[in-house]
Amino acid sequence: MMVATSDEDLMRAVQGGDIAAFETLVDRHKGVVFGLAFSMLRSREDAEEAAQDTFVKVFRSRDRFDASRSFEPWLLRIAGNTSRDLLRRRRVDTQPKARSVEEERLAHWIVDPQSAGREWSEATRQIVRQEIELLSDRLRLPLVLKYVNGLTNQQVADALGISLSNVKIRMGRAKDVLQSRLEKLMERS
Amino acid sequence: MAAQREDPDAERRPDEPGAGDEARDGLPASAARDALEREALAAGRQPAPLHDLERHPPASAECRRIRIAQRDYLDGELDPAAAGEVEEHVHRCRDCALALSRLELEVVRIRKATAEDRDAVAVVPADFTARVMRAVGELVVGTGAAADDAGLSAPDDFTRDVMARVRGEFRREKRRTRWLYSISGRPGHGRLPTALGRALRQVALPVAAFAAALLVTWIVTRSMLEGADARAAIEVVTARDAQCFEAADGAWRGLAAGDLVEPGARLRTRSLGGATLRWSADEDGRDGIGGAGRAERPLGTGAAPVDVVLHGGTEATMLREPGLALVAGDVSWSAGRAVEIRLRDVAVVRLSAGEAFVSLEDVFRADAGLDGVAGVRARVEVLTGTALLERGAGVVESVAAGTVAWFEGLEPTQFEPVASLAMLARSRQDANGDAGRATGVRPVAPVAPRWVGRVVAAGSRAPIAGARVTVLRPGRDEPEELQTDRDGRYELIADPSHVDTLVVDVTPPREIGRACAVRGRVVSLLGRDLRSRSLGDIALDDGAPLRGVVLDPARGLRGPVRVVPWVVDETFGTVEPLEQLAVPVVGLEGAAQGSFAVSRLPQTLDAGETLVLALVDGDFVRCARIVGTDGVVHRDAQPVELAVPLGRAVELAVDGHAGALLTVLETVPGLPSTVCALVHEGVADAAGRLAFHTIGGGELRFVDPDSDAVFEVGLDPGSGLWRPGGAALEHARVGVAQLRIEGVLQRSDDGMRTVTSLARGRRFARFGPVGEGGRTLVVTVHDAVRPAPPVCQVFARSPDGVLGFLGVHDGASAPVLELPWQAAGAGDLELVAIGADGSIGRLRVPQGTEVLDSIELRAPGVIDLGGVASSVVAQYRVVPLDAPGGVERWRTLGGAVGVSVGRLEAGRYRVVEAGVRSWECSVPVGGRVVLDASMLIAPGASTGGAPR
Repeated sequence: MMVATSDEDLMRAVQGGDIAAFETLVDRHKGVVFGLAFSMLRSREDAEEAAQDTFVKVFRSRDRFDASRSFEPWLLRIAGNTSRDLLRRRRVDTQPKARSVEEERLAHWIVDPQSAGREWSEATRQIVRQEIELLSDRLRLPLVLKYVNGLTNQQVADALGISLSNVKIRMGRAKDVLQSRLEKLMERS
Repeated sequence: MAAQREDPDAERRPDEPGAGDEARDGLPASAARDALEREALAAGRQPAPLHDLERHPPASAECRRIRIAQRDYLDGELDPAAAGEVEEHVHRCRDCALALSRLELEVVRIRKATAEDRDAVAVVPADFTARVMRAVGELVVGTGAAADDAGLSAPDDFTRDVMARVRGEFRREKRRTRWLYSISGRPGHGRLPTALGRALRQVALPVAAFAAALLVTWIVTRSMLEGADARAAIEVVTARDAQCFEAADGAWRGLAAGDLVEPGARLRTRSLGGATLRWSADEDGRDGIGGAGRAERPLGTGAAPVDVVLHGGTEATMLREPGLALVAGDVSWSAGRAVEIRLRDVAVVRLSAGEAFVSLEDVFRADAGLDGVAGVRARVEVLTGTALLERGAGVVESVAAGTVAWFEGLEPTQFEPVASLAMLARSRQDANGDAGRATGVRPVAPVAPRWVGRVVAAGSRAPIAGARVTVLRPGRDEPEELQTDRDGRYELIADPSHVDTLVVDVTPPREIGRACAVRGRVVSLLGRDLRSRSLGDIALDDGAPLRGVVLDPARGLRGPVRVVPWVVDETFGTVEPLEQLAVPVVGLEGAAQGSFAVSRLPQTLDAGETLVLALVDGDFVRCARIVGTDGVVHRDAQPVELAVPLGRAVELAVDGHAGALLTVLETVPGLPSTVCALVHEGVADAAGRLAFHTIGGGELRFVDPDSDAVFEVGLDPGSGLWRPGGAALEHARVGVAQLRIEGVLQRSDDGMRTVTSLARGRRFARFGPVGEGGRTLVVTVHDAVRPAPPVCQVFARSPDGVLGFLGVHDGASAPVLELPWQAAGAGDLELVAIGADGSIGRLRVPQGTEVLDSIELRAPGVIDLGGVASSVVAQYRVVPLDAPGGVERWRTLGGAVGVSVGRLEAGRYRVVEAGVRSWECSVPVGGRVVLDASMLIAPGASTGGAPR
C-alpha cells in the first residue's frame, strides 16, 4: 500500500535538492493557492500571477522553512501576502461598484424570500452575491475564503495573517452586515 | 395596530427563567412563551417576525454560550462533543432553535449566492504546475537547457516573464550564498553541502549580527554616512519610493522589495520613503548605508530578556533602537530591557516578560493582536485606525485611534489619550521615513483635546452604554470604532485642521436590538464651538412610541383618518409609505383634535433618507411632518403636530386652452413634489379658465395637455388668477395620481432611452441604448378570476436566461412595452407579470411574435398549517409537484412565528415537516388550503403520489 508523503517530508526533500518533491507539493496545493488568490483578486489573470509567485517564493524560501512545523499554514501565509501585495497594487481597479438605481429597484422588489417564486430566487441569489461583493475586503475575504474556497477558520486565519478569533469576529460581522442590508431591502419591498 | 407588540421581551417577566430552565407552574420556559405568544395571536397582535430574534437576548448563561457557539456549529468548526451540546440544547430551547435557524438561513443564502464562485475558484489552469516547475527549474539551475534536462519543456511566452524575474532572483541568491559562506569563515571555498551550509549559517549569523550591531551603532552615532563606502550586502525588504545611488553606474534608481544592492558599492540614498533595508557586515567588517531611513540589524542581548516575535504584518519599527526595523515572520530576538515597538499594518506581537511599548499605526487592513502572558507590561498606542487586541482566550479588546492602553499581564489597566498632536505628527513622519530615524520619543503632556459625543435613549434621554460607534473622518479610508462608556460617552481625538464633518454610525448593544441602529448620521463641525468639545447627542429608539396630535379646527376631515409613516429617499427619488405601521387617529370623531402614537419606527435611515408622518384622510394625503433625517429619528418632548391645511377656491386661467381638458396636480405639504395629494381635472371655459377647490397647503402644478410637460402654477398679482408659469419641471410626464401607476417611455435624439415610471409613489428610471434589434411588444394583462387585474410589473426573460424589467401595467391600459435589450440569440421569450398582491402570470412569446394577447394573472394561494403544525417551531419545506425542478421554499413555522405559507402559485405541493411528516395538497388560484390529517402521506411515498 502506498503511503502518502507528508508535506513536511516533501519540503525536507526539496531542501535536500529534490525538485520532483516540489512538483508534488505544487500539484497538491495549487487548487487551494489558486482559489485563494482568485477570491482575493477577483481576476483569473491576477490569480494565476499571484499563485505562480507564491510557489516561486515558497521555493525561494525553502531553506527558511522549519520542517518541524506544518507546511500548509506557511504556504497559506505566503499565498495570502502575495495576493494582498498584488491587491494593493490593483486596488484602484477593484473597488466595488456602487449599486445602480436599477439594481436598487430590482432589489426592492425581488429580495423577499417569502415571496420568492422560481424566477425571484435567482434574482435573490444575485442580490446576495452583489451584497457580498459590496462588502469591504476585511469583511468579504474571511466570508469568501470560508464559503467559496472551503477553507477552515484556521486556514483563513493563516491566509489573512490574522488570529482565529478575528476571523470569527469578521465573519460574524460580515454576516450581520449582509443580514442587515437584506432586511432593509426586504422592509423596503 | 395600536395593540401591536413592540418587543416580545416586554412581556417577559424580569424574573422569568431562561429558555433552558424550568419556568413557574412547572412548565418549560419555551412552552410558557408559546402560551404567551398564542395569547398574543389570539388577541390579534402581530407576532414577532423572525429577524426580531436579535431583540431576544439569550435568557440564560447557557443560552448565551450556545448562541456564541452556533455559528461555529453551522460551519462545522466544533468538535463532536461541543456540537452535540448545541444540538441537545436547541432541542429543548426554542429561542436558541430559532436563532439557529436564522443563522442557518444566513449560511444557506451565502452558499447559494456563491455557488458559481465555488465552481470558478476550483478551476486551476491546466498547465499551472508545468509553468511553476519551469520557473523553479530555472531558479535552481539557471539555464533553460538544464530545465530541459529535468524533463521540463521550453518556456513559452508567459513563462519568459517569470523566467526573467527568476534569473534575477537566482543571481541574488547566489550572491547571498557567497556572502553567507564568507561570514561563516569559509570564504572562497566554493559550494558547501546544504546541511553544513545551513548549520554554519545558524552559528555564524548571530555572531555576524552581533558584529553588525556594534558596527552599525558606531556608524549611526557617527551621524550620517552619506557618501561613505557601503561595503554591505543590502537587501531591500519593503520599499515605497525608495531610491539609491550606486557608484558603479552613477545613476539613481528606484529600489523594489527583493532588490539586492551589490556589496562593495558606494551607496547613497536619496529617498527611503517607507523602505526597510536589511544589511549585514561583509567580509571586511564594514557596513553602512547613507541617508536617513530604517534598516534592520539584530538587537543586543542581555539578562532578563524580552522575547518578541512578530507574526503576520508587513513592517514594524523599533523605536527605542534607532534605525531598527522588524520584518514580520522573520524576526525573533531577545532584549535585555524594555522595548518600544511600532507596528504598521497587521501584526501579532508576543511578549514573554519584561516591559514592552507597542504602538499601532495604519491598522487599516486588520486587527492587531497582543497575545501576552502574565508578567508583561505593555503600552499599546493606536495612532490611526482601530486595533483589536486579543488578550488570549478569545477576549478581544478594541482600542481606537488616539488611545493608549496599558496592559498588565492580560488585563488592560488604564487607558489614556495619546499625549499630543505633535507626537502624532512626529510618529507619522517617522513612519514615512523621511524625517530622520525613528526617535523613540515617548509621549508627554500636554494631553490632546478630545471631542465627546453621547448616545442616549430617544425617549428618556438615559445614556446607553456599550453601543458601538463607528466614526468616519474625511480623508480616511478606515473608520474608527469606539464604544460608549457607562455614561453613554465616546471620545475622539480632536483634529480640527481639516475636518468639517464626521459620519457617525451607532450600533446599540444587543439587549437594545439592532433595529434601532443609527446609520450614517452626519455630524457637522462647521460653526460648532469645538472648545466645548461636544459632538452632541445621538438618540436611539428605546421602544417608546412617537406621539402626536392632529389639529382640525375646521373639522374638514372626512375619514377614516390615519397617520402613516413614509420614508422619502431623495437619492433614489423614492417615497415609500410604511402601511404596516399606520395607526388610526383617536378622538377626532366630532372633535377638532385627535391623537396618535406610532411604534416601531425605523431608526436605520440612510443618508439622504427622510422619515415623515403623513396624515391620510380617506384616499387623500393631507399633510406630512418630518420626524427623522440624517439617519436619526427626532424625538422631542413635545408631541408631533399635524395641522390640517385649509383648502381654498382657485381659478386657473390658461391662455389658448378654451374648452380643453385641464389637469392640475396638487402636492402634499411636507412630501416631495412627485407625490400628488389630489388631481383636479375639468374642462376650461371659453376664457380658458378652470375653477376648483384645493384641499390646501400643497403646490399646484399644471399639466400641459399638448406636451404633457408640467409647469408650476403661480398667482398672477394683476388679475388675482392662478396662472401656469415658469419653466417646465420635468421632461417626462409624471404620474397623474398618487396611487396610479404609469410607465412612460421616451426616446432621446442620441439614441438613448429613458423609461420613467411612477409606481405607488416610487419613481424608477432606467437608461439604455435603443437597439436596432429591439422588439416592440403590445401586452395586456387580465386576471384569471377577478374582473380587473391588480397593478403589476412585467419582466421578460431572454432565451439565455437574463431577466429584464419591461414596465408597469396598471391593469387598465395596454402599454407598449419595449424589450430592454436587443433580442439576444434565438429562442422564445418568457414574459412574467407580478402583481402587487403576489399574483403571477406567465406568457411564452414565440420567436418573431410582434403583437401578443394577454398575460393571465393568477392570484396567489396560501397553505395553512394551523391544524397540523408542531407546537414547537419546526422547518417546513414546500415542494412544488407540478413544476419538476421548481425551486423549493422552506420556512420556519410554528408558535408565534406563523403557521401559513403564502404567495404560492396555483398547483400541487408537498409540505415536509423536518423530514418527519409530509402532506400533499392542491392550491387553487387565490385560494387557501387548510392542511389536515387526510392530506398526510406515509414516509417514503413517491413525490408524485396521490394525497391520502
